[in-house]
Amino acid sequence: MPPTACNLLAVPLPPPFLLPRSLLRKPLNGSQTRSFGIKSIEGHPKHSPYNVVPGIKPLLSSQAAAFERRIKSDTLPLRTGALAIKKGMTGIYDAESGKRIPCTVLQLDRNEVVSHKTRKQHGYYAVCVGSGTVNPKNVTKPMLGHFSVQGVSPKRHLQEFRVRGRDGLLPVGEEIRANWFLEGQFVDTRSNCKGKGFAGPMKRWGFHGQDRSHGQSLSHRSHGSLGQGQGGGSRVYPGKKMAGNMGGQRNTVQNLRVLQADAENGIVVVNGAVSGPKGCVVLIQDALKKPWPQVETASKKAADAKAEA
Amino acid sequence: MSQPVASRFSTCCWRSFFAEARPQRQFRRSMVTIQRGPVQKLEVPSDLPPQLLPQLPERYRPGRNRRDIVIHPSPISEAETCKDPVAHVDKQQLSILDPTGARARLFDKANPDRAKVGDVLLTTFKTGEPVSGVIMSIKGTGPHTSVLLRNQLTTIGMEMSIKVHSPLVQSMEIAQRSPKRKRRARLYYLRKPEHDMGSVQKVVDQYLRQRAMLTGGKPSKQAGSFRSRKGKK
Repeated sequence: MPPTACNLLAVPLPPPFLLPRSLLRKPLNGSQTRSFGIKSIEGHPKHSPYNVVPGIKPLLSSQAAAFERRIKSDTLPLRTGALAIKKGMTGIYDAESGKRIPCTVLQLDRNEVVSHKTRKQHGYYAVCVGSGTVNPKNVTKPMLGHFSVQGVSPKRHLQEFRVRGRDGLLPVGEEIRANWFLEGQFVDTRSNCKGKGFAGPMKRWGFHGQDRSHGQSLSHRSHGSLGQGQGGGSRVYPGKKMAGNMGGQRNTVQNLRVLQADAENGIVVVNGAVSGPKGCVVLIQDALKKPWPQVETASKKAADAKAEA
Repeated sequence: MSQPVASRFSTCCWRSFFAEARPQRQFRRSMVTIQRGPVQKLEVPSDLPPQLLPQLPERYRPGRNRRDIVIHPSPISEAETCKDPVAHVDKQQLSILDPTGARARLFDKANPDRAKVGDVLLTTFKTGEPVSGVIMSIKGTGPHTSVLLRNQLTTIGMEMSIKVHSPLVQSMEIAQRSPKRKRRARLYYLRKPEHDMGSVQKVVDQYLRQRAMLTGGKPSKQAGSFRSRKGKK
């Protein structure tokens, strides 16, 4: 707000009609009426392309600011996930409705917490989970030293699972069994989908291809034009859908219901399909877009243990 | 320019002044490197005063000895406990859906009295609705086994695929066995008019009458056909 006459002078002022015009300026606002042909003293109010509303802080590119935004957007699970191997698909009959539900069988194998990532040291909270086993001969010495210090066996697969806070950090060396996931809860699975190699535009993007006949020669499954000529800048825009390598990249399937969880055999059965071939590594974590499962957090458990002691 | 005289000379000038005064260099670096023996590593003295320690590289300071790498034992493997999880899940399902194993035996390949293609099968659902027909094909294994039944309802052909182990199925009985072994696994030729068996209602009715006589009860209303139910209405 620009300074007014009252702010500047402590002495009592004469009535406004006696004051000079310059002291009677009013603050500009958006709903100022247009004055045709007469220029105001202020000049034309200029529109700012920036969001200059007071009270808004600019977005920062620092790691801490990114962390804060992540926390604010509520896109971090409360607890860690686990690594599983896709074993295949089958069907399960729903006892109530009698419907047959297609499901994927995943198996957890020797999941253990290997290490932590902390806000203080790394800028975020995450749990590094290892699964499977590997011949120590085939592990590099730095990694062997890491496993040795952390007190866990050498792991075949290692993966970080981000968690929201310190409460989600499961103690190092803790085993994650299949009953970590509750029957009926929803999970997200992440895995690499099946690779399709170099695929044409029809397979890769669902293009319709071209005619079989009507004088068509040598191009039946190819794409058509890639864009305009001079009007479009005489170039192919970045990200143009064309033939290329298809599949084999990370894919997330959200909101899969857990149908069965068998800790002894490490079996987690989820509703529906999971990306990837049989035997691929699948990351399972609590679904982001569903309410968190009702489980005791690590800190609560510790508090309970303390109370008991 | 009120500089002293000496500073007015450039450095190279000074050099030439003292060139003769400087002694000639005795040793010049030769192209040949004299080979030395292996470098003898000295032990870090154990009684080094602590103020000198920061001058040592970190790895030589006391207390920084190499730690031995320990290979910790792996926990019990779930994958070793259960080699085939899909089969395990299927087996578990079957034990819930078919605890006596009677239904599985009806379609077991090892059972000579099993239901085969060409037999007339009478199926009753939990809702009491009966479906009967000729078995056209038997597909799948374990809890996924399904039969394709063909019948005619009001002179219109009807086919229905039924999951054998579905919890919606109450019972499955063979009303009539095929007189001859069929030479095909899938009797899709039954769809052709010249091979169509037509309605199997008569066969089923006869079977029900026979069963009622044997058990000494009335032919169950539940096992009636769509047509008979319609007639009662």
